[in-house]
Amino acid sequence: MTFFRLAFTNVARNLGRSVLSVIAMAVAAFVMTSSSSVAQGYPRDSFLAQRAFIGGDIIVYPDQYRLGGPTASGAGPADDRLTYARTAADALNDLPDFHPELRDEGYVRRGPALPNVIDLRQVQQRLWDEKAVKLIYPYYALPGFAGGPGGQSSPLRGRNTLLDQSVWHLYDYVTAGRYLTSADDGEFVAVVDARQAKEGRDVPPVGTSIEVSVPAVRHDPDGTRWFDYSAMKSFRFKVIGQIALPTRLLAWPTPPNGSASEQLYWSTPQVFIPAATFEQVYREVSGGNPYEFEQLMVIVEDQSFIRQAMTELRRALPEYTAVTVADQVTMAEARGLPEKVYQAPPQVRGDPSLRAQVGVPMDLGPAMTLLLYLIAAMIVAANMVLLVTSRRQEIGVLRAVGAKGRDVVLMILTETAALSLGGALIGFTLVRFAATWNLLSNRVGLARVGLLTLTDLGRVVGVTLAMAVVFGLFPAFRMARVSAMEVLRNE
Amino acid sequence: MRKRGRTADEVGARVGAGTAGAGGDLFAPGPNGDDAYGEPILRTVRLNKAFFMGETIYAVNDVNLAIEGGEFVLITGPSGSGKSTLLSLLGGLDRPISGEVILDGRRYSRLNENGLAALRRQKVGFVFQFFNLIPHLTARGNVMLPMRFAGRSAREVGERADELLALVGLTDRAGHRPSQLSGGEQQRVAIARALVNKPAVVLADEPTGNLDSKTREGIGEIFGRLNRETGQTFIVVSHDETFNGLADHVLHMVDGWIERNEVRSRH
Repeated sequence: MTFFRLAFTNVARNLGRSVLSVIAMAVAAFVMTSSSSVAQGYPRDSFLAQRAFIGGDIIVYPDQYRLGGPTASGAGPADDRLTYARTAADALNDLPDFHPELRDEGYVRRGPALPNVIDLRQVQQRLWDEKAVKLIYPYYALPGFAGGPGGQSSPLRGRNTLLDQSVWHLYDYVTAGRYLTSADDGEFVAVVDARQAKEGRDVPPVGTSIEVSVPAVRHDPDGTRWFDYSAMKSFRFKVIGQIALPTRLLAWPTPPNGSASEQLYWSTPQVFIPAATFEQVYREVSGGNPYEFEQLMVIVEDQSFIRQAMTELRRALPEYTAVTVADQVTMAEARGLPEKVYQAPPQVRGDPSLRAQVGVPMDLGPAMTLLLYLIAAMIVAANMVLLVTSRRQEIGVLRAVGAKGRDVVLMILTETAALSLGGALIGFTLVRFAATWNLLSNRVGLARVGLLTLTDLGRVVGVTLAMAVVFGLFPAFRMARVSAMEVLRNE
Repeated sequence: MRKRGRTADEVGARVGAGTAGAGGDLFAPGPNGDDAYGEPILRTVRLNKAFFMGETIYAVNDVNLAIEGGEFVLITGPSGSGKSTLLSLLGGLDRPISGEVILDGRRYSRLNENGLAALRRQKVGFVFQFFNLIPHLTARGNVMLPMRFAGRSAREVGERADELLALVGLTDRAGHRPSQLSGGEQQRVAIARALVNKPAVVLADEPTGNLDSKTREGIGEIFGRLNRETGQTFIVVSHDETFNGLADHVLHMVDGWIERNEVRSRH
């Protein structure tokens, strides 16, 4: 207790330097708390339109494709350990939207190519124990052409009407007519993107019908699936609604002193139909085969911990890519994808030449945290070293009345720890308020919020104390060398 | 302080030239070996301390002392005669260049810094001229400090501090910080601090040197009373005549030597 009292009193005695130390440590703790809590995820409604369009919080697709048949446009080297893979134009996932270059240029991966379909049952089994995962369901899509073969590309997209109603609230984005409901399952009805008209494409009005031609689906004995565009089959859907999915609002300055803004929209040629209807279509074009998936959508328990969920998925599915929609969208936004912007200048809407990893940087949080902690700890240590000079007499007195070297070391370390912990708690508290708000917005239970807060607090306190001890040792040992003779210098 | 051109080696060659009055046979090893010397609580054997300032200056020169338990020892001498240096050597605050200090049978030369600190904590209490209280601790906190370093319980420490503050008449000032106390009160706190671990020897370096005459008498009275009541050994360096009447052993130093070693009858 004496040490703590001495330590805290000394903190107060050297208020200016102490405040500097506390601020430095607070910044470090602020960043660490941010990277360990807030950066774990997003508020509940962030990227909602994009997640609604994709139909999940995280998307999972195989790392590699084995392409076959006439649609296979790229064959790789013979070496089966290094496979050159290319995303087909008719890949049934979201990759072409986010990474159009993969379709044209491909990518190289080690290891044998996987079948181009996901065994959902196997994946579900492997993810059974992943608590962060709330729901997994398949991505339904087929190549399609509006107005018959040779028409404009209009992929058929099967939608889970129940989830679209209860989770994604897609009816909020309806601009004309209505959205699909579970009553439409099995009906040949469709919803189309109203924004396609802005690109000069034909958007069938509500109440009219749209004819979509779909290629036949063939299966090779090796499990590869491919599309036979020489055998097309047409289906007619009644358009019951049009939607527009607002994504982000861009603003930019206009000369001389003005400004302009534009609401951007997700632009998609997809034709939304009920999933049950989609399965009927698929059976008809595949000769009765059940649908096989190229992409899974995962809905997580809450957005606050989506990175944790993503990590769990990646661990559980090492041969698949699991990426959050938020990350993909962030990357796409940096490249001006996939919205089709009409007014905003290029420098505002993103750089299309940017490639992978833009917008989704490596997680530098821990490195940044470490750097800031080092700086903060050095500031605290420098402060303590300065104090050595001003407190030699005091330490001399303590030595004279019987303090051993280790007593002095303990006192200085206590003081260093007090300064560091004070700052860390300030930084932690500041961030934690925001993080707690984020958690509460995701309707995370109070018990879990409390547990997570304590966990993060423990982590911050642990790192802070470790830094305080490591960097406090130098001034502490320097002070411990002060002799009892110091007390006589003023005599 | 007399300046001499001797080297440390020369000092070694002069070992045996003890100070007059010290008594040669008194410093022979005791019957229990090197660490047991019999009656005196504190003794020095051919103690030397020198500083080099362009030339070697002896602050303490071949000092042999034997101080018995319960004595009130007054060390006098002109300024620069080595009184404070001798006191710091006796208290283990400083190391001699040669010779030995033996406190209650323990040789300082065999103790490292932490051992000396432990010895100071257990056996020695210091009272300094400038009080040397920790400014941000209360009077009670200052008194408690040595006991806390000794690892005693908070309750025991608190009770002992209260007892000592009562002994020096500062019960009502226990919660005050040094800056809120007069010089005499600060010195009384320092005295209480020196006594808190029930040391065998209390060393005081000019304890009234920074006080007015009235306060000096009060401090002298406390020293005398404590010496009588507790039976602890007091070694006081002072020019103050207040202590002359209390002392039953007076050492007069000149140029690092004990010029006079006067043992008086007990009061």
